[in-house]
Amino acid sequence: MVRRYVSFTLGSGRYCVPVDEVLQILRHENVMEIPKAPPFVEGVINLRGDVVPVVNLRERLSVPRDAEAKKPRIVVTQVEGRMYGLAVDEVRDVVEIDDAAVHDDQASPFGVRSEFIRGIAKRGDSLYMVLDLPGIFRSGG
Amino acid sequence: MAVAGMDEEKLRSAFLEEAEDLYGKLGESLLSLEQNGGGRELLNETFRLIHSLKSESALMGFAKLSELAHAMEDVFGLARDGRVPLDRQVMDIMFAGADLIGEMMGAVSRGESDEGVRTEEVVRRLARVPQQGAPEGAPGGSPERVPVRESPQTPADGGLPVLDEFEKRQLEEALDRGEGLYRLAIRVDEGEPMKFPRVFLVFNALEEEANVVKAVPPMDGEPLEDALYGETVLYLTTGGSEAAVTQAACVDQVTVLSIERLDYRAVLEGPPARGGGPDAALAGAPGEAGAGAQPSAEGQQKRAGAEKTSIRVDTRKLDDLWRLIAELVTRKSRVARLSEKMTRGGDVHEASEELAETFDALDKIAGGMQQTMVDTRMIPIAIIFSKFPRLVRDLSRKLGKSIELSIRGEETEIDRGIVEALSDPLTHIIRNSIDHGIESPEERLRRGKPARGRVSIEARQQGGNIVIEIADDGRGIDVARIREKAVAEGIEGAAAMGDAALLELVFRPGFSTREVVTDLSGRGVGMDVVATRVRGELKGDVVLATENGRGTRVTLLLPLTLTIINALLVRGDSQLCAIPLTDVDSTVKVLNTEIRADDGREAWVYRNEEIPLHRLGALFGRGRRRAEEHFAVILRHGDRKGCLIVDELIEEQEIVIKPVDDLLNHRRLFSGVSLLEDGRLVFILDASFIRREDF
Amino acid sequence: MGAKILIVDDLSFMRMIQKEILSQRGYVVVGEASNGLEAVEKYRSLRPDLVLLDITMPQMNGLEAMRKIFSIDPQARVIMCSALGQQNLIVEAIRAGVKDFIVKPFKPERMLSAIERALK
Repeated sequence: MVRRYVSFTLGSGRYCVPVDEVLQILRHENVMEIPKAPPFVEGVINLRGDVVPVVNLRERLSVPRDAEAKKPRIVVTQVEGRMYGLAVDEVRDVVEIDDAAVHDDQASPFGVRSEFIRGIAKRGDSLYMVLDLPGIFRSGG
Repeated sequence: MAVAGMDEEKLRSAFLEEAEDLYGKLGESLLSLEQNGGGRELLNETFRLIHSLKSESALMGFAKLSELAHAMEDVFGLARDGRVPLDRQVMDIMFAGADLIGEMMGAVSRGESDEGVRTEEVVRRLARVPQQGAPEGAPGGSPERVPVRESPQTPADGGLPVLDEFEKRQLEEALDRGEGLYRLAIRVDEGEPMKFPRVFLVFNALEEEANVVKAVPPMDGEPLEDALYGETVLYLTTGGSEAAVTQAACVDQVTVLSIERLDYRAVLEGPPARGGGPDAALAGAPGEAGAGAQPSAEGQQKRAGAEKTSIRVDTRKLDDLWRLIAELVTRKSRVARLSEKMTRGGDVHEASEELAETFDALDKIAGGMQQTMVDTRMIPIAIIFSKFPRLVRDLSRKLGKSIELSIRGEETEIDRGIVEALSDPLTHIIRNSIDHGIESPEERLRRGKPARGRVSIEARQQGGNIVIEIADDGRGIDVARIREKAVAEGIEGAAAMGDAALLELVFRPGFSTREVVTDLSGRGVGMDVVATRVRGELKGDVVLATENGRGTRVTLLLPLTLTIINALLVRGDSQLCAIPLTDVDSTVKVLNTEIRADDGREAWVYRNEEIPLHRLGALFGRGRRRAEEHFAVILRHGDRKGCLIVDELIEEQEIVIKPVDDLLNHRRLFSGVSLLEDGRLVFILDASFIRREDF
Repeated sequence: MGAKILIVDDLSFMRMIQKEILSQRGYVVVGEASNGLEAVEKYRSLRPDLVLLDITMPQMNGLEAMRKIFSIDPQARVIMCSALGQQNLIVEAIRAGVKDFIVKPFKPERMLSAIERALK
C-alpha cells in the first residue's frame, strides 16, 4: 500500500512521518523553555491556547550538527490523541512511499536508536528514515 | 500604474526583494495546507500572501502575474469562506499556479517582463473551480438568500417600514422624548468594493446623534450579501436637526439619495411583522435577530457551502447571558462617564471609589459570563445513554438472555467535547457485560440467581470529576484464572500480585486478546482500547471491581474539561509557578538563621515546629539566591507540611488548568500547566511532592 | 496640505508607493512602520495628524495597533487599509473610531480623497 509522508531534513539525513500524523507546520519561534527538562525537550509553544511540547529531533536522535538550519520549522503532530511538536531543520515535500519499500530490519545509519525509527525506505537515490513518533515522544528515555 | 518620477530600477529591485520573499512563504504555506487541509490561520495567511503578490505586481504593471495571482486569490477567498474545499484537484492547480509565478518572477529578475510565460491554461482552470466547488451550483452565489433586485425604496407598503414589536416600542419611546423620525436613503458608489462597511461608517456616525431603529437591508446580526447594501435605507429617530443627520451621512463614496421626515402614527399603525417575530420583510433574510423575539438560537444562518458549526443551546442560558450583557453595558457607560469626569478634573478620590465599586460589579459580571459559557458547553450525558436501552434489548434478544437495564443520573452534564470520545468505550463495556458477564437464564437459575440479569449504568458528579459506573450481576471475573494466565504468559511478579493489580492486567494490550481471554469467558476483550481512550484521550481513569460469581463493576473517572482553580502565583528564578490555594497554608518570611541543614536536607525551624524546606529555584534547576531572608509558602498536603522558598510572591489568580505532558514533567512535580493572558507559561505545583522521599 | 502622516504596512514596496503619492500631494510622511508594535511607538513619538494603517500585519496586527493608538490618543485620525473579505475587521475598526477605510489594491485618487476628508 502506498502512503504519503511529509519529509524533512536534519543535517544531511532525510526523515519522514505519515501525512495523517501531521497537523501543522510552523516557523520555529516563541518556544518557551521548561526548567529541568531532558536535553531533547526544547520547551513548549502556545498553539492557540494549547500547550504543545517541542522535541528537538537532532538532540533526540543524537545527530551531529553540521550547518545552521536554513529554515527551521516545528512540525506539529498528533500522537495517541495528544499534540507534540518536532523541531527540524527544513521541511521538504510530501512523498509517496510503498509499505513494501520500508525496511525495518536494517541497522540504522548514524547509530540512531531503533525505538525512534520505524523503518528505512529507499526512494530513488535517497534514503528516508520513517520516524516512530510514539517512541520519540515517550518520556523516560 | 507607475508612480511618476520614481526610479525604475529602484522600484524593480524593491519589488523583487519583497515578491521573492512572499513567493517563498507562499510555497511553504501551500505545502502546509496540503497536509493540513486548512486551519483558519493558515488559510488567512496564505490568502494574505497571494493578495500581497497580486497588489504589488499590479502596481508594477506586471499584468499577467497579477492576473494569475488574482485568480488564485479568488479561489482562495472561496476556500477561506468554506465555499470550496481544498481538495487534491484544487491544490494541484494552486501548485501549478505557484510554479508559474516562480517562472515569471525569474523572468522579471533577469530584466525581462512577465509576458513570456503562458498562464492562460491555469487561469482558466482556476476560474472553473467555483463551479465545481459550490454545492448548489450557483457560482459564488448564495441560493438560500432571496435575491433582492428591487430597490428598497419602492417596497410594496409605500415607503413605510415593517416593524416588529421591539422596534415599535423604540419608536414609541422616541415619540415620548419628542424626537423626530426620519427616513434616510443612501447609495454607495459603484466603485466601492466593500459596501457594507461603508454603510456601517454612516451607521456608526449616525448613532452618535441619533438612534437607528431599523435598517434595510439590516445592519444588526450577520450582514447579508455585500452588493445588497449598495442602496440602504435607515429609519432613525433623533433629537437633533435634519442637517445633523445629513452631516453624519457625509462619508466618502456615499451619496444621500433622500431624507424625509415621517409621521409616527402612520408608521406605528402600519402592517405588523409576519409571524410576530423579527422580519426583514423587504430583504427576506432568514435569521435576523431582533431582541424582542425569542430566538431559537439554532444558528440557522447557513450560507451556501459555508460550514458553520452550530449547537443547540438552552434559551435560558442565553437569557442569562443577555441579562449579564445588559448589566455590562450599563457599567461600561458608567466607566465612560467616570473617565470623562476625571479628564475634566473632577474629584479623583470620589471617582476612584466609584471606579472600585464598578470594577467589583464588572468582576462579578465577567465571572457570571464565564460560568454561563462553560455551562453552554455542557450537555446531559443522556445524549450517550439514550441509545443503550435499544442496544441492550437487541443484544439480549440475539443472545437469548433476559436483561433489565437501569439508568441513573442521565441529567449529569458533561462537556460536549468529550461526548464522541466517551461513547465508544461505554458502549463497549455494556456489550461486554451482556456478552460475557450476564449468564443465560438457565445458568442463572442454577446458580440461584433470578433469571433476569441486571445491568445498571449510573453517572454523577464528584468533586471536579464525572463518575460513570457500569455494573452487572453476572458471573464476575475469576481473579485466580487471571493469575494463572499471567504466570503462564511469563508476566513478572504475577504470582505475588494482589487482586487489584491482576485486574489491572485486563487493560493491557497483550492480555486482552481473544485467545488469552477465552478462558476468562471473553471478558476483557477490547478493554485495552477502552483504557487507552479513557486514560489517554480523556485524561481520566478506569477501574475494574469484581466478585467471582456475583458480578462486575467498571468505574470511569473523567475530569471536567474546564478546570479553573484559585491559585497563588509565585516565581522561582525566572519561571512562574501556581500553587492551588487549597494547598496553601500560609505565606511567611524565612530567615537564614531559622534554616537547619541535616544530611543534605533542609528544614525550617520556627516556634518548636520543624518543617521540611524546599527551594523553588532549586526545583526548577537553578542555583540558590544569596539573601538573609526569603519569602516562602507553607504547603499543606493532608497531614504533612512543607516550606517552599520562592523568589517572589506575586498574587492570587484564577487559572485554567491544562494537562501537562510527561515529557515536561519527568520529576512529576506538576499537576498541570496554564497560560496567562500574555502567553506566559505557568506550572501548577503538585503539592504532594512534600510527602515523597526523593525530595 | 503639509499635514503629517504616518504610514504603516508590512510590505516595504507598498510603503514606498504610498509615500510617493502622499509627498507629491504635499503631505509630509513623518514616519513609516512595518508592524503594529512599531506603529504604536512611532505614533507616540511623532504624533502625526493621520495614520494610514494596514490591517493584516504579522506581530501585532492592525486592529490591535489601532486600539493601542486610540488609547494613547482618543482623537487620533486613522484610516485602515484592508484587503477584500475582511469585512468583520473593518467593521470592528469603525466601531473603535477609525475614520475611513480603503480597499486594496487602491487607486491613488481614492486614498487621497479619503485622507482629505479625514483631515477636515
